[in-house]
Amino acid sequence: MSVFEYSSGTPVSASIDTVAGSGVTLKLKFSSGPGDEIVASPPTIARFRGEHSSTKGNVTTFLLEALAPGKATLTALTGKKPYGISAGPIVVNVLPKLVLPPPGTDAGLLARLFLAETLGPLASSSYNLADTKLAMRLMHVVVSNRLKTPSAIWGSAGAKSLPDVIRAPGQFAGFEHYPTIWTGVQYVIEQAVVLANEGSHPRLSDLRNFVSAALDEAAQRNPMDPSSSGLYWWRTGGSGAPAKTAHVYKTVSNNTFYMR
Amino acid sequence: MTTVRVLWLLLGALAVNAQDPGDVVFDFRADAGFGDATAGLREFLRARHLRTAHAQHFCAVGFQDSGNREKRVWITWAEGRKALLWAGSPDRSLVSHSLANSRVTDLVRDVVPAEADLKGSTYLVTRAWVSRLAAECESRGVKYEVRAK
Repeated sequence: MSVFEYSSGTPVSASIDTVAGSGVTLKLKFSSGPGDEIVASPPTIARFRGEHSSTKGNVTTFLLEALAPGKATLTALTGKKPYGISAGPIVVNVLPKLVLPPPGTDAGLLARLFLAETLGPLASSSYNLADTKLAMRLMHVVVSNRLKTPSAIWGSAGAKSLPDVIRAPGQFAGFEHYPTIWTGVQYVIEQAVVLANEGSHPRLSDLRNFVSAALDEAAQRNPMDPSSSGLYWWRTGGSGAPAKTAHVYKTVSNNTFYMR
Repeated sequence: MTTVRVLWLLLGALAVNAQDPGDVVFDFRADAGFGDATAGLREFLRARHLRTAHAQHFCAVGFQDSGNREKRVWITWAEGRKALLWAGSPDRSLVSHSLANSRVTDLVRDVVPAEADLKGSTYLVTRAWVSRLAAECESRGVKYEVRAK
């Protein structure tokens, strides 16, 4: 039998996850010389790009292109008698591309804020998805509370909308002139989305879960405040309390949340 | 010694304990999620397209909370007048990348005189906090001299 491998040389297990609009570079290691035919089916979901393939020794390197969300199979067929399957079939799960909501919507604003303020799976040694979801939830609670109870104490005096709360001067790094965002912060947001849609990334699942968490939380309405007296602040971990009247609620994902 | 370094030394003489209650200093160089910062700092300078051939001076000090769940390394950059918050990476091969993309606090733009001036901000820091961080770095930090080129 021949074997499908990732470009790193790791054998492909029974399935591959990738993302529509991207591709995965794979290898087919022949057991008895080249000549096998590589087939992805149905071709509307994924296809073998022959023009991007090359054979060296007993290995063909090729691009598997993901076209649309759905399931496909990847198989190598023997090129000589007895004809049959020489590798696979591998199930190819083509996941939908993750897209942020339009910047002019509350969900779009919140998703960008969460991605900017929460450390992603490649950016924290203590990353875990549960903490990330909790941090995003608590951020959502903070901005919702600031809107419900506008006050200069937490920088939302006069706020009538979420954009008013988040654009308040000096409150959230880079968002003061939203939808224009500081270049460095914008880069962080864009990178998160780009990597979540990079179908060949070895940590694709973590990267997608991170962006999906932001999208899911941003789509929620009226998040429940888990604190006893109301969450109104968070601070970058280790950068000190926001006010003398603020009490630590919890530190999670390198952000410390405070209640009054 | 440059004026900037003198400023840092003066700030460093002022106080200790820059972080949250219960935080302790840890040796980030020996931690699997961090390690030596030299390569990451070079990548950081390159990512910011710093063309100068002059050496840049950094000081890094790691903190972890009492539950040993959250770790962070604050890195002061003397010439750039910035502080980097480096949270490491779960993947050793991405440690330098994580440093190059760390969150940056501008120690000119993002500093306010006192706590009352934070007015609820998530990211502004006080002068006293900057002084404490500089003090921690002077007393317990790891110094780096890095060139972009």
